[in-house]
Amino acid sequence: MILSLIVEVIKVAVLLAVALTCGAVLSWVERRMSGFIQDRLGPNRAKISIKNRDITLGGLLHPVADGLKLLFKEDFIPEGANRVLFVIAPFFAMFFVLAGFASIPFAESINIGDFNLRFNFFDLNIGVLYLFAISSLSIYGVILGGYSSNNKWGLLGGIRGAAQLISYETVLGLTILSMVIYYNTLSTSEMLNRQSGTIYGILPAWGIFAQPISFILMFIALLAEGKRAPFDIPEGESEIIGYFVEYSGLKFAMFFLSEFIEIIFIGCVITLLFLGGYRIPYLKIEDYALAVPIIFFVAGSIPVLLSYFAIRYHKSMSFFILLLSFGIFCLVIATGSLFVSDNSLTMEILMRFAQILVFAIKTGIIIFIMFLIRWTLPRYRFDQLLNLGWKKLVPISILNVLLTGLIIL
Amino acid sequence: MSGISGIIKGLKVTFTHFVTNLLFGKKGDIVTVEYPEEGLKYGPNFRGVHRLILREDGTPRCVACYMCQTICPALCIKITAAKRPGSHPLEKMPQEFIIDELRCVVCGLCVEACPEDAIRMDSGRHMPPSDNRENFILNSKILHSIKDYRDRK
Repeated sequence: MILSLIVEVIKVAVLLAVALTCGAVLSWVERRMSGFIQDRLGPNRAKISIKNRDITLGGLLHPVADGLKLLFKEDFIPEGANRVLFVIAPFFAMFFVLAGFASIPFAESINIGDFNLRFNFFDLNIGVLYLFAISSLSIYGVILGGYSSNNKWGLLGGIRGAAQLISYETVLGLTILSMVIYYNTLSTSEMLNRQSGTIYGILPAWGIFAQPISFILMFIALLAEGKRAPFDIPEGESEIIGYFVEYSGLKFAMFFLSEFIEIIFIGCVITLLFLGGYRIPYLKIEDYALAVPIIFFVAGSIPVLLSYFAIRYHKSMSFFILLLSFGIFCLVIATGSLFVSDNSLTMEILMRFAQILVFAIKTGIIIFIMFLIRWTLPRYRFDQLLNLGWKKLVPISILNVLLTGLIIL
Repeated sequence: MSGISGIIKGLKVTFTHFVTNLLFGKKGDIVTVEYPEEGLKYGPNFRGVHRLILREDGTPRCVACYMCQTICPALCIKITAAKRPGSHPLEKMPQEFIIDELRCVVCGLCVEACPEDAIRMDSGRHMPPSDNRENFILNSKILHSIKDYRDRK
């Protein structure tokens, strides 16, 4: 009992640390990526000098610098603001985003001795409903933040957010319905089990191949749900600054970070429902001996390959070392795992790490596509957004539910 | 449908730029100049820091005629005239020739006004930044020592 309690606390701590760190790193990734897309270099200058050597890590220190800056800024509450709601709003935004991760299984559960270690927090049999209930609650941060700050632009941002969320919630709900009909379950881990093996003979039995229309609909709806461009009208930097106009310092940082964590969350949800979660295509989950070296080899060789470009063309020694050390670490594990006997505990643990790696890679690809879309497409106007939602996506998703039902029958 | 094909075309463009620049950095399409470490070369017509020219015998070309000081719209030139030493055919030379580069608006009128072609702005560099105002006030010694842009590496 006490052991499981300690383990749960450690899991929460790890999740918090990973999510917050990844959110901060993603802010750098997005800025760097937008730079490359627009033929700029992006932020690469924040540095620490040790013995007259500048360590920049290719700009990875920028999130640290940003965080420090926001930490020391004045924590401003505007005149006439509802102080309680104003303070509470960023916590709402942050909490619901983080809580969503609770029912996402990042890897298979593992038995260490008598102890069963799960890689999610609870295996609800209505896990999917929980995911979407929580993620739609995160709009309260937006509405409260905009409403309580006694600012017209903030209020406009909040109202826009509410209208957008309500419209796209319909699409999201209907799409989930078709997914639930297809998988015939509401539990997240069950859904993953349904995605093993192949369909149509050659394709892995992932949701994206079985339900392509649902995938596109849900991707669009989740983009809107996460307030991502081209649906970022609650924020709309160029027209209204957004629901967080009046926020400064760490409260602003929380809004900012929660947005990036929500991106990770969206990536995780899509990976879970459509990309087979931690499953490796064409490999049975039991084939540890084959799967582990392959995954670690792939995960290791890509950074090693990229590190060549980092040193040759970007001339960033510290980032080169970072990439190379990670890559070599993975490669060493890959070679080492060849000598570990099957069905041993070491192999099982390595397999769990490999599964988390697979999950992370798939999530990363989805996040990459979201960033690419953001820096390609212009923002929808408000009426265009609602027209797209109600006149196009809702009918399509209703038809999609009917179609899925017919096929299943 | 045309909308979707447009989106895909756009994504292709951004993706190509991203991959090229991610892999090849400045050898790719990136146009950023990382300023303090590197800079753009100014063209030959660039109006840079003033410089004063010497005659072939080593004396200043300037004859202290006050043309530049008169025409200067920013009132940044201050000349103190003196008699040329020895039996020089010319009468005057500047004892002190001071240009306040903080006041200068870099219009180039002084160069055009000069009858002796003694003042030029072809140094090919801007005034280097400093945290001290004194450093922007150039006297004739400094102005004579500034080189032509062709001599700069």
